[in-house]
Amino acid sequence: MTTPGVFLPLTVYGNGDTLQRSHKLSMGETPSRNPDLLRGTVELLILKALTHGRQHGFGIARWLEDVTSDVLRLEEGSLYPALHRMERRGWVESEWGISDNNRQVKYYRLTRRGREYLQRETSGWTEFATAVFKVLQTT
Amino acid sequence: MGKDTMWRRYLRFWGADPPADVDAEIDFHLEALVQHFIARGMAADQARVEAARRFGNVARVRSECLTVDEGWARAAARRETLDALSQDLRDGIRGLTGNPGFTVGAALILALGIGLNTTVFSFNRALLFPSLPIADPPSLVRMWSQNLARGIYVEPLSEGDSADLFTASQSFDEVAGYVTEPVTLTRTHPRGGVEAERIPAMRATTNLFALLRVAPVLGRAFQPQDAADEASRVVILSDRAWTNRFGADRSVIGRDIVLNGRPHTIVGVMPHAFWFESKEIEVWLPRPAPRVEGGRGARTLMTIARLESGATMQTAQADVQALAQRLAREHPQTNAGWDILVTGLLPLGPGEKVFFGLVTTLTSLLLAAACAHIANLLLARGMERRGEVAIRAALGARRGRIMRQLFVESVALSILGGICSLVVALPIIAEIRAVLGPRTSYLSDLSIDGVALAITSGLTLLASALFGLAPALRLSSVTAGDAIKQPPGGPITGRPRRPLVSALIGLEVAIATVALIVTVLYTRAGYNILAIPYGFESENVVTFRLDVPEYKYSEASAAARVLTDVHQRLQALPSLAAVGASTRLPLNMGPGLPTQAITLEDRPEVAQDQRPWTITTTVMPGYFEALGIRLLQGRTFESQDSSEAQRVAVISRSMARAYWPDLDPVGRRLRLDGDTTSLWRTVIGVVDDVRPLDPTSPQVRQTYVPFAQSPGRALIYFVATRDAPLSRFQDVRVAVRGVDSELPVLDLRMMTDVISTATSGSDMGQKTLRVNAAIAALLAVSGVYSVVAFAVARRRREIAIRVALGGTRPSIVAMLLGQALRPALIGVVVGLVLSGLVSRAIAIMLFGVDPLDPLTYGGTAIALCVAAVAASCVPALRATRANPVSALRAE
Repeated sequence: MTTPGVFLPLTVYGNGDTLQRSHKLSMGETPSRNPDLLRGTVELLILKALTHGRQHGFGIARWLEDVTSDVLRLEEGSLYPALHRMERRGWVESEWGISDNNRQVKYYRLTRRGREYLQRETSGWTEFATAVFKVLQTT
Repeated sequence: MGKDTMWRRYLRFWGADPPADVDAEIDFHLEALVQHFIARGMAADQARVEAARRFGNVARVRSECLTVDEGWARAAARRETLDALSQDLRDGIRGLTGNPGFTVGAALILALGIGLNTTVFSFNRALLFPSLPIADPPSLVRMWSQNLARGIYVEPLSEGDSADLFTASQSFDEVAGYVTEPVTLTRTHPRGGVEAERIPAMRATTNLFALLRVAPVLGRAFQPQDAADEASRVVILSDRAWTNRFGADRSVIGRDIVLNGRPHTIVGVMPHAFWFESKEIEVWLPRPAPRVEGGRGARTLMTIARLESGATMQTAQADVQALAQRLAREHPQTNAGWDILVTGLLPLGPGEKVFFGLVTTLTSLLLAAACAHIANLLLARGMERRGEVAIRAALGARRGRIMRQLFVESVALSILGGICSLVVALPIIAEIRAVLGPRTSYLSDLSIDGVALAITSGLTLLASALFGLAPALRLSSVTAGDAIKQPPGGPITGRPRRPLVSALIGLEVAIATVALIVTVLYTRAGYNILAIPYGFESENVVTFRLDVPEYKYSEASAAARVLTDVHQRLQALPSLAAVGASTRLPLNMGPGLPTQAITLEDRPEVAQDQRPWTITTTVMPGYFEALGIRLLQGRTFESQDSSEAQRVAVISRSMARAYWPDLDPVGRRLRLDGDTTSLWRTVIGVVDDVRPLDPTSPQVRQTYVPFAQSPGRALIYFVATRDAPLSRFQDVRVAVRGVDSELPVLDLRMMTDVISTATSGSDMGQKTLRVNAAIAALLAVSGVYSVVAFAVARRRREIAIRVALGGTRPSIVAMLLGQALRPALIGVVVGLVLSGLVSRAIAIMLFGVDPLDPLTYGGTAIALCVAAVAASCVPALRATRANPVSALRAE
């Protein structure tokens, strides 16, 4: 696992401002720096992960690892603030269950609103990526 | 799925414990990671390290998640509270509308209680704590001359005394003096013709505005030289005059207006909201500061001062007391027996203070009675709703929620009462404004004081909330099943003890007792005063005033001629029975009440402060006849009593009795001190007393002198008509116009109107007390009724059983009555005791009435008891008449 890859430094959240900013995001405001883009991306990935059915945080992390062949290395813990925020915005909903070894597990599931949001953002992202790619392709 | 549903599922596991949930979530992930790495072949501890690394900063993740969750929890809780509140409001209103009898009754009672109290407090505030357009009113004081031996509570100071006050007193920062007197404003019309108008004006020392700390909004204030300089006459306009007469034209400064025949230059205009003494004052004129040489006999100068910082009214009073004593020693002729009194801006006499205190106390008691009544109603209602409340608790409503809903009901009730109280208060305040407003500017803009309304409503809210919550408070002691199964009256056996209800009934009855007794005493005193004959007839008497202007008739004799001519013209009219005039209205009303010391010819010298004194009135022949004042001895004035003839006087009965107790006063001589001529006058007749408005006043020692021998510039005329008095108004105008077409006829009205205006203030007071007492009595009686009625309703089963078992009607009725009548009786007794205390406190107002008059006390007590018994009997008898079988079946 030593492929350098794009390490998404979700530590960008932190510098004391973390709480404030995550708070801000949950209230619908958008800070004006780059982290916004990155945060939004993580949320997209999570939503996508949930399209296949309900999943817990660990499962989402593993799925991302598999699908991106470990290129995107998330700090796995950072999934959780994102999940909680998305739950508050109504994109996912959660329920508790019991795992095979009798631990409490919290499962997340995509809501209709989340699904719609995913669709919208995906097409937007795709357009963006296509445009960038086009530019980069020219000599 | 709604957000709330998710939220509830989220909470299901740990209850509302977000931190535990987040920890569980994180723990699972970490553990899963460890297992993941172990499965890939790592050693256990290395797996842990790697798992921690892969996860990231646990603490940070945890805190971020918690922030989101807890914020969410707060928002959800807020929403829930809001929903619950609006639900409570709807339920509360529905609870009130569903029970219209209770709601209407309660609202009515609250309206009366809050309305009367708000009125009284607004009134008190306007008089005692007015919001005046001057700086720091509490530090302003007035000084007055006082001579209680002569029945003078307050009178203006003399020029000399005031001058001494200016210089000698240390308690005051600044002292100013003023007189209010009308001036004649003359205007020439562009089309020719001169229009003269009397306008209220104030002549003040030039430091008055500085003392009040107000400055003109246009132009400048007075300066000391304005008063000293004879040539320059300046005037400052009030905003009222400026707006009405000059159209708020900013260029008035420097213009001249003609006052009293002389041009005055306008130098300033006062601000819009400013008024002092009276809102009618239109112009201010400067006058020089009082001088010691200005004389001490005539007391005409109103004095106002600002206390030095650190001085109080008490210290100032002590200060001027010393001054007054010194003046009495140094000038015994004019000042012996006179004190100087320091008061606040509004000098209320002792009688007025007592009366206001009484009215305030009684209306406050009425409010307490109203609250007690409402409380009883709420308690009764609470008992009925015990079942409903218990069911609601069984269905899962938290006690706090139920209490909140009941509280909202009480709030709604209080708000309703507050709104309805406006219906009560507004008309009363309008009436006070109409009747008393013209007499004092403090009440001319009387309106509802918002603070008073808020406080009174708040008090009733407190009371109704307290008692309205009762059924919820008792919840814990009642299980749902019991409350539903039991008949709403409680157990069948025994007398249910309701000490709170008894106490409230007792309170209401006690308050009613006090209100009734005190009001009856006061009313009787009022009738006693009315019964005293005035000493004159006011029916069919027209009165008016003439004030001959100095600018037109500078010679005193010319002015006197005018007044005499009018008199003669009127006397010549056959339709008039008699015409007279005097310098004052009877009943000792009217401007100024100069009492004078007199010297009796055949009396030895006495100490200066014990000299005989009198109230002097100058009259024209016909005065006594016009007003129907009886002649007891000798004769009244005739044309022979001219300025060349011997000086004469007519005295009143009390004066004769006071100074010539066993002798015939006719032929005796007296000398009025302060009279410029200071000649001896011979008494030629004795007439009946004309009593002052205040029957306890000693000012019945009256002396009359003829106008011809003591002329002046102003007189009040009294025209006794044979018939159709209103049409005589025209006769008056014609007569006056015949002498001088420009001379205005002032205050033309019927004498009966004058008297009713003079007594209107005390009439209002009487009315207030009577209404108050009536409401208190009604509350008490209906309170007794409703308590018994409710007890009867509760104990229907018990009564039915007793009747079925052969109980006699009287015994059952007696059993029911006992519960309500016992507290009522105690209330009456307590009320009697309180009445004794209150009546003693207001004894000075109870003219001719014993404060502990047994007839009144006994009569009221019996009347209330009878009313209470009657009120109790109605529901009790009705209950015994009911068919026991149907009553039992109805359960």
